[in-house]
Amino acid sequence: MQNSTLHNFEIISYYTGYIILGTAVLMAIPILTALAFAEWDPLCDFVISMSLTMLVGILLIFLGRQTRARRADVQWKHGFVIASLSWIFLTALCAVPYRLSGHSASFLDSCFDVMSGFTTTGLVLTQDLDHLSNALNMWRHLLTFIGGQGMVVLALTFLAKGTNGAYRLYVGEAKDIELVPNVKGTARIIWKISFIYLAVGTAALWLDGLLIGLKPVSAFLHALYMFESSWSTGGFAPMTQNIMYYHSLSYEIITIVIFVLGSFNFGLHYAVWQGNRKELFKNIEIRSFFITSTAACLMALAWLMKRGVYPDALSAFRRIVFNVLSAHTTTGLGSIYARQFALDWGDFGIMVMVIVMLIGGSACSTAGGFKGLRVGVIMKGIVKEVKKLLTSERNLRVYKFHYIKEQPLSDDVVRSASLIVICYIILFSIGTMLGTTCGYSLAQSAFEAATVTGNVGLSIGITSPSMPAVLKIYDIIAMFMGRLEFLSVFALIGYSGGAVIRQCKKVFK
Amino acid sequence: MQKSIQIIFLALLIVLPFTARAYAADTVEINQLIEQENRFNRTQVVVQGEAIGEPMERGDMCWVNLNDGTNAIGIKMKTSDARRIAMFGNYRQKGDTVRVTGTFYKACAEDGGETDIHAVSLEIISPGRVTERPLDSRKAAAAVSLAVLTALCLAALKHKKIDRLFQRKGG
Repeated sequence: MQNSTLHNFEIISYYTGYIILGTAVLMAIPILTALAFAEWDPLCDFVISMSLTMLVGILLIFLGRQTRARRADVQWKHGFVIASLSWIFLTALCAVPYRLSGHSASFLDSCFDVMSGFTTTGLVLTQDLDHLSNALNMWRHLLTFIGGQGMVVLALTFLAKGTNGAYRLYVGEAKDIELVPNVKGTARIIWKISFIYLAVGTAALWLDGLLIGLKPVSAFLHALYMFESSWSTGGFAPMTQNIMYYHSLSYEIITIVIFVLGSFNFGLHYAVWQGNRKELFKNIEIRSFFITSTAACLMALAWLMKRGVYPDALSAFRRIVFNVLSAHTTTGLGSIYARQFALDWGDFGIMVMVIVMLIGGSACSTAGGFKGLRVGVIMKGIVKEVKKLLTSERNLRVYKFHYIKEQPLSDDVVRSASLIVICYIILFSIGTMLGTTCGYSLAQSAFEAATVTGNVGLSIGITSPSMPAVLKIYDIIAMFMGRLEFLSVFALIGYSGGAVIRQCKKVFK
Repeated sequence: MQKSIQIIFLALLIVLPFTARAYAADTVEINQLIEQENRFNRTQVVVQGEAIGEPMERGDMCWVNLNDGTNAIGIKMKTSDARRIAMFGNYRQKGDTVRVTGTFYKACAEDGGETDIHAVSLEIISPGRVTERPLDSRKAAAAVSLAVLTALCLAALKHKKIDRLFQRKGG
């Protein structure tokens, strides 16, 4: 029994250390940025942070060094615990440069911003964004880019051959699609897809940046940051005004295209690249996204036109479609001020936004929310139940849904989709209640709870360095749980809870 | 004579703070503009703050973003006016502090429903400056020490070939 506990600890420690070490290497990018722009203070911040992160990674690998020799098999519980534990360690370690920069009011605020980046939420507590160093801006946007694909996916890309149970590590990060038979290959394809879009998207935004009056170097940096933020459905931006800084319709259109593509399943991208273009029209998630986003845009347009918020149809279309799609894809780039949601959009407008933020993008994409796949499956499940009630019991029919391939719509599939949706709704309800107890209105609390639960990043004005610490802690936990889709976090709680109970029993014996 | 000069001086001392307050009251904070957007919509306002980022020239017109510490807003102005701003705020410098008089739009039809100000006049209140960011020697020492320690740990791990040793034992 004791041996098994030790083995479990070693496996978890070894792979967690590996993922931490992999992420630490990424800090070389802001270090190079600091060198390129002669930013010496941020250079020191990142050298300190990289060293600390590497030391923690080395220590964990050392503690679990027997794992490799034993060729220990990674079980499901290990995969889930490793994924969530890596995220917790990395949140604290990657927050160090934020705190050292002096742009965070506290370490809690730094951790908030890192978790917001990793989970591709995009809420910001970092102060004075307009005077941030290039190195820290690079790091902020890199975090959200890596977070969108996943730190475990990153580590798996470079993992040695023959790692037993790599698939379980991969699933632990709420990704389950297998593009090729081995997980390492799948992880590499995910990165390949992202890097091709990175090159194309950054080039498009760079050219547009030059056309709208940005200087070549800053146009490139803005393009890179905005691509990383949009593709990862993150929502960070290098300036205080977010997308409003650019005052450009063309810039907004390019980012819409990028974040809508980013919210699609990697499996769909791969299928289309393989020549299977029909998948675009048959896929349950695309259909679900098309229906819900069109309905939400039309409802918001009708409501806000009735309220006379925007002077003409074109203005209304530009402001509403951008924000609704940004919310639905869980991106969180905002083309109006946060307070204007509360002041102009009214309760109905806020409710539309809350619903689309909770639905979110596609499964196995960079997006958050409870995902179009689950909405589609549950809707089809309801239709199936109604049809079953209305048809003869002798009429046995197999119900299916299309998700990369035809799949049977079994009761198990509907049940597991419903369970995750219920978890999201519970988390959202807790957040709403907490917001109201802190003195915010129901509509504002619901908006903010939806934005963290669905990893969106739009704010109605509550998120600020002066918000209550209890809300900051809830937001960090909600972003984390929402991104990992609960199972990994529950596994970590169960695993650490079990260890505590066993220790208590020993003590009392 | 001396007495009357004293009275005038005293009167000026009393009145001056009020004029200063009345002058400050003319300037509206950006957050106040947003919070009371219906009140200020399509009216002439005065905002004062730091020019940030960079100017975005689009023909005769140019976009300049202004941050007054409460929030930031886009100001649409003549390119010739924008060129009077010498420094824009970023990591290396604090931008010129400017006072802009213009019309506030909570959703400007001309600019696709954007919340902005169309400038009528621009005044440079104080020039920007390069921000001194001296290297913190303690931070630099910590960075060097930690980097050396990390390199040693990595080298030790590689030197002892711990990984391979255990692999051989296990294999």
